[in-house]
Amino acid sequence: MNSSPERYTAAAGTEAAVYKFHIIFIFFTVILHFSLFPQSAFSDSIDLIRSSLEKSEYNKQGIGEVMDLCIDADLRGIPLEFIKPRIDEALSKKVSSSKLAEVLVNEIGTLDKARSVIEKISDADSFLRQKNLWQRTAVLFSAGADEDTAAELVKMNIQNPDRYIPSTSLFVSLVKWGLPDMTALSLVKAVLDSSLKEDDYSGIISLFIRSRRSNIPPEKFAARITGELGSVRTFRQLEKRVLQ
Amino acid sequence: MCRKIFFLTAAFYLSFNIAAFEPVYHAGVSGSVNRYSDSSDDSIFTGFSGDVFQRETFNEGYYSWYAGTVIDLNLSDDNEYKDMEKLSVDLHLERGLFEYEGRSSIKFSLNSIDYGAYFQPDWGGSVFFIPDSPYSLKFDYNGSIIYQEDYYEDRVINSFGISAGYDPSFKFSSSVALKGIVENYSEYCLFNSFGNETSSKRFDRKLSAEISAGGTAGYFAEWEITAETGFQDSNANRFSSAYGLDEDSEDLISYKLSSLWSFSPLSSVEIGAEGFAGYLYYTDRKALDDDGGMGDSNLTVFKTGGTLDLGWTKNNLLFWSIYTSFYRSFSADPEFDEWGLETGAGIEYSF
Repeated sequence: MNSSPERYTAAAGTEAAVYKFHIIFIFFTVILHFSLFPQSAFSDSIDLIRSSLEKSEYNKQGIGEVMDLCIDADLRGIPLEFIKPRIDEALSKKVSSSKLAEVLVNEIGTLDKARSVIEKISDADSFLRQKNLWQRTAVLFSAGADEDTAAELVKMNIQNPDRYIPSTSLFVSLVKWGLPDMTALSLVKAVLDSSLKEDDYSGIISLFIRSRRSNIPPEKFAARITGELGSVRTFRQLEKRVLQ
Repeated sequence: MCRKIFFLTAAFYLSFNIAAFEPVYHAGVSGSVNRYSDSSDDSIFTGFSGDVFQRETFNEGYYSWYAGTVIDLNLSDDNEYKDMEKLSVDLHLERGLFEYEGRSSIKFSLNSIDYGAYFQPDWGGSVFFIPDSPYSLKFDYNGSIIYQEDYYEDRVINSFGISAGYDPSFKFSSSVALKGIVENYSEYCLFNSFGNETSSKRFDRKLSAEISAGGTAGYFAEWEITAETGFQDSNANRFSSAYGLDEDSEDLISYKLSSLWSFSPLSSVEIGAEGFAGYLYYTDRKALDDDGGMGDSNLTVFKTGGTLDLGWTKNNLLFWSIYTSFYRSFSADPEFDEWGLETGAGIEYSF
């Protein structure tokens, strides 16, 4: 028997190499697994959703329909935490499974579309990492914005994502109120370039409500605000300057 | 000379980097039906209105001007019309923590029905102290002259006010204000104990305190509530052969609560509601009874009223509106127990 120290050293070296190989193999397997199935590895959401649905009044077919959509969303990398509140809301309001499925198809579609818009913009990774920003981008589509408009809003906020939620809230409320997308977009850009505090962004819509009492055409009033935003420090100053 | 004026004007514009708002013009027609407690017939009016507003802004403020006119024809009476014109200018300057405002206007009417020709120049100024916090202070002065051709209440009014504001955000703001007013009447003569007019003229001093709050309700609604109380000290008296000379007949204490709510869920729709309730207590005047004799209790008047309006536009150029307003005052004195109702509709072109 060769029991020389060299032999022991060689055997130990082989074992160590095998051990090291195992570690590296496991590490890459885990990485590969998480890359392919990023959410399902972390999330118990699918089980929670299944459990909620089973406790509901939905029949097997209805539960299957909703679960299929959830599994599909999970495989497409859409976080189920985005979808679960919709399901909980539908169950508490006793919405039918077919109606819920319709809502989920739309929700998953807008989230998917939002991701593809964000992915096309360089340096916008944080908008996918911060899930509320991703979700907010999907809300823009639900509010009727097109892909170019959503992309423009992401780009406007790329340096300061903290302002994305308040500025898109302003955009959505202006469009819902009746301003054309392009007018609302220019106004939001001017607001982001101004010294206004984020908490005051939504105040812009209150100026439109007051201008409406004086029958001022909204497009004209929007031009007034856009023109003045560069000269004011506070919302109160803006209010005084633009209202008659 | 002309050249000098041109260069001075150009220098003024260039030094302030002036930018003009696009002017807003309105032209409209309207119709209304009015009914009052002292008249058995409805009055039907049709009206024409027009106005223009322009503002020029610069780095540290703005100035603006306004001109408007309203002419109403009484269709129930061929010879009756009323008009009201207004011209105004104002200047607002922002200097660090302070803001300054100067304003002047003229309201006039060639025929105001109740007063004949009417002329009212107004002027005023304000100083605002706005530190970098939600709190602010405002000092106000306002002056006015009222001339009424067919009525005896021509007067000069001067008022001074101070108010403190708390505006934490656009969602909520509030203020408290104190105001002192003096009014010198030029034609309102006092009576002597024989019922003859003397050369002494009426002179009023008023003091009022006001607290108001306002803000937004959700994204598309606005509200405002104001509570006000005031005291009027006047040397005015009145005389009647039924009760003789009644001194200090216009001294009173007043309370008023008013509110405003407006809602515009879409740019095409606007709904507004205003309401008020007020109470007047005459400290030295007794209510008259139905026969014109003096009663035992002090004159009190409770007033309430409101306006509801609905506006609609399809294209943001042509604005349609309908409104209805009413007021009612309750009092033991028949002179003050009255009501009025007005309902109308209008179309305004804005460009």
